[in-house]
Amino acid sequence: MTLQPATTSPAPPALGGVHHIAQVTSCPEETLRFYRDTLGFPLLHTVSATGWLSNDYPDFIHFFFGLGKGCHLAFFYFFSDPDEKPPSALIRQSKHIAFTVDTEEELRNWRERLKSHGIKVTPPLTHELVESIYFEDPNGIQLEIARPLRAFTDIDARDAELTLDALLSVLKSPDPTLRNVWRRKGELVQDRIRTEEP
Amino acid sequence: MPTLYVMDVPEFAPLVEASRQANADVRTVGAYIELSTAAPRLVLQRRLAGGLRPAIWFAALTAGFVGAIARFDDEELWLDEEPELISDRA
Repeated sequence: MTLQPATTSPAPPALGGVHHIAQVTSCPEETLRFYRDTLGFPLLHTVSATGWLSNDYPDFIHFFFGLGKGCHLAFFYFFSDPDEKPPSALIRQSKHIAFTVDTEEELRNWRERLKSHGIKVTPPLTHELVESIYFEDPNGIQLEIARPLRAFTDIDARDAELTLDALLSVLKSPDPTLRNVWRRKGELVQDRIRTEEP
Repeated sequence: MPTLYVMDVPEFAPLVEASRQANADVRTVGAYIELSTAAPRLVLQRRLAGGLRPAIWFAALTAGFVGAIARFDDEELWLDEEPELISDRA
């Protein structure tokens, strides 16, 4: 069974990227100092409101920093803190925001800037398609600055379809492991080769 | 036969080179490169892949395999014939 992408549906309307990513902070002062002063992201906009979506919606200040190219990072500060359990270390590290730079020099300059402000930052780490440095904001949000090593190609996209096909099929099986995803992927790749070879 | 597929993209090229050095059969099939052997075990060694960076080495199976993973650590990847085939032969 191969899940077919919905090729028959019309192309979606155009998207121009991310306008903003919104996070919640309980320490607005540290957050402002970190993003505006340490990172140098301009503070561009705030919203402050009461009773927003419902009568018991907590009063809040919503503030936006510019990331360049029309992208923003926004924070909510709620005057009555919503109860929320702190996430596990794995979840905290996995949910991250990756900013992008174009060149190795820009990545190096960012690392120097962070170090000069006393921010703990990793050495550049090379993954599949990006080279990245990692650090953390005052809210415990994991941040990454990534330099793409190459663009995603059609090979990547077609392979990604097969990986997700394999994952979804293995998740319905009695033994949903990564090994079985790789095994299923091998079958799907063989099927594709048979279909495409003359 | 034990078979490993890798995407035909630059970051996986050292893995293909390592399997060439290990005398595996290397065949380009569409967007993938098929690494296989007529022997019961396909062995890939990270040192032969020029010290392939960890993120790529540990993603070596991303494009799928045929057989059974007998070893996969930070030094070697062993793919064996599928257990069914071995028991058929016994």
